[in-house]
Amino acid sequence: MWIVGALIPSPTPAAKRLPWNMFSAPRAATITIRVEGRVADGAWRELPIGALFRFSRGATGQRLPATARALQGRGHEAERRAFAEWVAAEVAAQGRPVSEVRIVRESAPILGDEVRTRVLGSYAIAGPGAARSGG
Amino acid sequence: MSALRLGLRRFFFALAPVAPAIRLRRLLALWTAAYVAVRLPHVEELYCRAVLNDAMLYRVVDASPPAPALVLALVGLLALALVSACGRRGAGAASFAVACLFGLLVALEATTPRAYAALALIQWLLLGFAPGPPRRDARGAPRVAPRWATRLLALQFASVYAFAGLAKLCSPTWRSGAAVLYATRSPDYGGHLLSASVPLDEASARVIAWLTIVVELGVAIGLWRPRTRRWAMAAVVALHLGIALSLRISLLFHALMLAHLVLFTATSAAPRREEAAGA
Repeated sequence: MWIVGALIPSPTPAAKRLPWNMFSAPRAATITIRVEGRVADGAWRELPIGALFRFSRGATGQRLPATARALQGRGHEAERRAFAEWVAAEVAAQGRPVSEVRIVRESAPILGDEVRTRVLGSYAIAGPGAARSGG
Repeated sequence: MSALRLGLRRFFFALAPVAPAIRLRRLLALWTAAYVAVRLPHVEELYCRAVLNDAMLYRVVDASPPAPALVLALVGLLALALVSACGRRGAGAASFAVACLFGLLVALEATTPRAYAALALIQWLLLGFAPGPPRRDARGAPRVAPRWATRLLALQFASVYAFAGLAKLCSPTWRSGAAVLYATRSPDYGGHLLSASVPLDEASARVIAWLTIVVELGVAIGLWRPRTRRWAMAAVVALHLGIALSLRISLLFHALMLAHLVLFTATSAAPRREEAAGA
């Protein structure tokens, strides 16, 4: 069935990643993933995930979090927690500890103005040692 | 029925020069080396992290990401296989080895692999069946062989345009031209050279969308007819030049597609006579 689905020239999930269906369904929105951490004074600060993910897809500026499956649809709670704890451990190693991390997904329509912002999850960070277990 | 059988037999098994497949193998080896080279500075991020890892391999195998040293060893083996694939002996076996090693590397990549990596993988597998050097026989004439592997390579290449054109034709987003607007106005893909300096309205986007569909379908057919082949090849170059000048699509994609044009380059008269005799 997968092969049949892949061969049909339609933007089905099976066909999407195969070479004969390149560029058939462009995205109507631009996805941005922000990761914020609660610092010592209780304020939320954006964490520099651009420095943690340096590889850009193709000729775009898209980094891995923008396309990661765990940060797109519903669910993936364990993967999101692991990601939050890993980011917290990385910034703690740079001398910027955070007590909580939240992952924010912004969806900006390409032909419109209304940006939809959604908090994918907020995760308490126990300590740098525990945070490292995610990565 | 026998005419169809004869036609298919001639299409796949007529004798043709081996040079185009050898040229493609060398170009694909360079392409594969470039694909890996741009990822080498990011080995830890792309292959060795557990977080946000969408590697295809872990959808079928329950395993942990490898250490960087293992990935580098895999890259080293791939480099050896690529050199062997371009050598005078064992090019077919080396092509299979490249397919296996490159496939494993692509399957280990944390981001969802680009479709063109899948195309390169399929082509490496097919190149495993294609003849290797020398290009000329003992008399100095172009060496010929049954062309079925080269035909399969060319069919796979042309099918990309055929299916891409058909998929666009089936898509209301493409038929209305909205897809072109999405692409050219996207902060990720658009705002690049031509799309940054020439703003498109809905009407011109629709014209470009339909032109793309016509060109893609035209290329898929035109490449197979000697009369239209040159036009189809020129259309491929124009299509990719147009995309490269207006969208932030990887140059690796364009390079891979343009490299395939060597499969359609003119052949000398001598093999044509043999081809006719073989038919």
